[in-house]
Amino acid sequence: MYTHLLLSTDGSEVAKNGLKHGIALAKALKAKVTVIAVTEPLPIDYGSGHASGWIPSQHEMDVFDAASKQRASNFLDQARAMAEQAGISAELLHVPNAHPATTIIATAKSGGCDLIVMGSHGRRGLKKLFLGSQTSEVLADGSVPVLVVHNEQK
Amino acid sequence: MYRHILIPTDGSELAERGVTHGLALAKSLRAAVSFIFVVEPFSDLSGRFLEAVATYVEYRKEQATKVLDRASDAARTAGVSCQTIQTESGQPHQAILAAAADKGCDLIVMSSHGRSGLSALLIGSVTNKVLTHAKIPVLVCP
Repeated sequence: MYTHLLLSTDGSEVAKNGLKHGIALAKALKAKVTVIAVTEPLPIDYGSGHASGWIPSQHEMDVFDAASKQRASNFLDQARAMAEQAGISAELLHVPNAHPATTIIATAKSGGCDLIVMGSHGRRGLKKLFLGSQTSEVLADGSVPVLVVHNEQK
Repeated sequence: MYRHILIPTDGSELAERGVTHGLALAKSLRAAVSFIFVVEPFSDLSGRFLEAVATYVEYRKEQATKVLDRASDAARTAGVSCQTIQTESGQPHQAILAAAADKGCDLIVMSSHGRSGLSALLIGSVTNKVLTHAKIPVLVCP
C-alpha cells in the first residue's frame, strides 16, 4: 500500500492528532515518514497612495525568521519524539516563508509521497463548521490521497 | 491500526476508485470493510412526476444492489471480510456517518467526487459534508 507518508503539522492540537494517526499507520504499513512544518512569511504592507505601509527592516526580518525557525523546531521535535515512541524514524522538514498548502503538495510530489496526513483544521478555523483552509486547498488539488484527521473529542 | 473501514460508493467511476483504494488499504491492514450505497430519492414533486420518480428510485436501487454485489465480490477475491449496506436518504452524508457509528467503523475512505462536481475545482459535496461532520478520520483519494 502506501510507502511514504507526508505528515503536516503546525503545532496545533488537531495536527498532533494527525501525527498520531499518521505515525501509527506508517508503522502498520512499514512506510517511510516525513514530517513537514511550513511557516508563513511576514506580511508586508506596501501601503496605498495615502496610507503609509510597513516594510520590515532587515533586522526585523531576521528576528522573524529566527522565531519561525524556533517555533517550527519546537513542534518538529515533538513529532520526532512521537515517532521515536512508536519505534519508527521520521525525516523532519521545515519550509520557512512559504504558503502551506502549495508547499505540502509540492513536497509530496517531489518526495514521492503517496499519502498526505493532515488535521482537519490547523490553528485557525471555525471548528465545527468548516474544514481548514490549507486542508481544503490540499484536498482540492487532488493529486495525492489525503487522510484528514479530526480532533480527538469533537 | 484501523480495524473497520467504511467505503461509500454511488456507482460512479470515481467512487469506484475509492472502493479499489479502500479495499487495498483494508487488505494491507487486515481490516474489515463495509460498503454503503445511499439511494437519494427525489423530494415529492407534483402528481405527474410521481411515476417517473418511483421508476428512478427503483432503477437506482437495482443499480445499488449490482454495485454492492460487485464490491463484495472484489472483497472476497482480496480476502477481506465485508458487509454491505443499502439505504435511502435525502442526505447521503448523514446516512454515511450514521452507518459509520452504527458499525463502529474507525476510518472512512472515499473518492473526492462521485456523480456530480466540478472535478478540477472543488471536492464533491457529499465528501465535503462527510469531512466536515465526521468524528473519525476520512481518507480522500483522487
